[in-house]
Amino acid sequence: MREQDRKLKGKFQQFSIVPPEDVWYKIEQRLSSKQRGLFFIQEIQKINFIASMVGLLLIMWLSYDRISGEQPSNSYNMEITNGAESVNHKANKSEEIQDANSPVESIFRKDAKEQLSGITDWNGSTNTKINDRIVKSAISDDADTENSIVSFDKNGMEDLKINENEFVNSKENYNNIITPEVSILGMHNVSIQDAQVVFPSISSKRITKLKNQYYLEVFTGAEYISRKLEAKSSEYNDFAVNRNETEKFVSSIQGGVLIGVNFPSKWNIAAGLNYSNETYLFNAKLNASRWKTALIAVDTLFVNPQNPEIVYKSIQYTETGVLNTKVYNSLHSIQLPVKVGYTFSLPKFRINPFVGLNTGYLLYTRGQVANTKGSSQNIQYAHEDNPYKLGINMNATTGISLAYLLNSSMAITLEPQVQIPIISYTESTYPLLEKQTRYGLRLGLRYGLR
Amino acid sequence: MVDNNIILLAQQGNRKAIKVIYDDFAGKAFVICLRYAKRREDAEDMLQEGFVKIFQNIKQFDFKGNFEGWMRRVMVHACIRFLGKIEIYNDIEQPEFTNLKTNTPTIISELSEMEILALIEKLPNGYKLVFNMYVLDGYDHAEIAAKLSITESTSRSQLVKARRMLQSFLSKNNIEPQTVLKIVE
Repeated sequence: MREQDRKLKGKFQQFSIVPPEDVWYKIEQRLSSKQRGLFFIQEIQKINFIASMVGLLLIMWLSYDRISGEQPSNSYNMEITNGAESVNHKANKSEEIQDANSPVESIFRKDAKEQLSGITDWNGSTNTKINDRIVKSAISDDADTENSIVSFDKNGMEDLKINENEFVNSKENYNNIITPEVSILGMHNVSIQDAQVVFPSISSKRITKLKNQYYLEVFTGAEYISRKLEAKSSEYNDFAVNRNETEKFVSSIQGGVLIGVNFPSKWNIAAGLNYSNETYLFNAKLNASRWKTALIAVDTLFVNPQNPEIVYKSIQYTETGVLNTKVYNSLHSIQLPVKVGYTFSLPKFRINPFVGLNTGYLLYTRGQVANTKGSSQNIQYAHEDNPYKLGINMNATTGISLAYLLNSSMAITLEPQVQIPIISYTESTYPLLEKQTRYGLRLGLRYGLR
Repeated sequence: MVDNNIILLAQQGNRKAIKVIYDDFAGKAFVICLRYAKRREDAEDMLQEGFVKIFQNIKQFDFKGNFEGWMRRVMVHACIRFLGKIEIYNDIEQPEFTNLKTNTPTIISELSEMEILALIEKLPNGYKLVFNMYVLDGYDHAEIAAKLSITESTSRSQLVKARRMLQSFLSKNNIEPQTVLKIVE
């Protein structure tokens, strides 16, 4: 650094001019509002985090219950139809089945024996081994404890055949799953051997489809965001009289995972995590000022009259003084989607309209963005100094998930959806958090875990 | 001079400590903003932005360096942000000021602060930005290039042109008292 520069710098180190008093009040106001805004957002984040965790824990708990059979807490129904007489019992298995002396248990045993006698009647002979297994299975506490309805008519062989057909046509997992449609045996764990003895036709039919209690879905997709920002300003500086900025949506890609649970009532809930990358094109157009450039040219001529070329250059610049700058902005974020749906079943398809919430957290941005207010001086440097600034948005989501069943546990899903913004907050990043409706299409691969 | 205890209190959100820091630094910060701004109103807005940034990020100050130096950098950064997009500035070719013959140039450092401010105020935005950053705020060309998204050579050439233009102003002795008053009042 030159000596002269040092002196100059030294002069300004201690030089001060008292600013107007109202500046402090404005600063104070802004600091207070920032703190309030931050508090509000922190609360939203907490609520969202807790809701997401509760959703995931619920799913894990339900999944655990169904897979392991350990510590089951589901209640089950037992319904016996015997002519005009109907008995409906509910019991908590984990607490009451283990107590052989409890009233519920004694009823359960009685019910199982009634079924046993019923089977004996239909077949005309008693298969003690099978019946023992059935009773054992019925009172066993390590069996699957899905809601079970024992639907049984002692007097009707026709009903039995209908039930057999239902069992086969329901295409349920014959190993473990007992759903209301197939629980005619009144038990919770039906082996293929048992099923084959009671319903020989099972052995010759292929069970093709699973009704999965919960599933894992991996998806990818694209979104269209109907967003275009335009900002205009005049007299930006000595070299410009007009300045236009536009910022258009270019593309958005995303991918993620969902874990979902299908309830027997056909309602389902799913939660997950997805990453998205949005790209916008920022285009700034600057018109040069003929008048001000001409002034500079005259000034130059005055200082250096022997150099007319300089003047010429300046004029030429004015004639072609339209400048374009294009910047591609990129925004990376994660979202926590939670949704609730209802399933309509078709032979090869599942149609699942849903509603939900999608909360997005900004991870990183780069580039520059236009300001909706239209002032070029307020153009934001998106995260120039801190690329990880706080950004959060919450959208309401609705759509239809269409699943095509590939086999007993796999499905391809196509999911058109719309996201309508509810809440948005950011310190400096516009594109992610502008309240814009998003239209998305996701393609997924769903795997039923059982 | 603000001591460390006051900084600590400000980091904890103590309003009185924040006010003490503001009172101590506001005058110098305002000069920084005046140097970068084209108009006084802009300088006030810059000052506001800069102090909000300082107090929002005061927890990041780790007491390893000079607190005032840290505040100065935040303030300069706020000014640059306020001035807007630099790419556009970079695209504009300034008219050349080559072969300037300045007889008996006045040494700029011998002028008063007010006079220097008035001269800097007359510089085009691009020149002013680089001149301020390099000469008065101590950035090197690599840092300026990174901050403004320009090349180092552009930064150098802008500085040279700024110096030449200042010399031309001095040679013409066109420091206008009205301009000084316009900035300061």
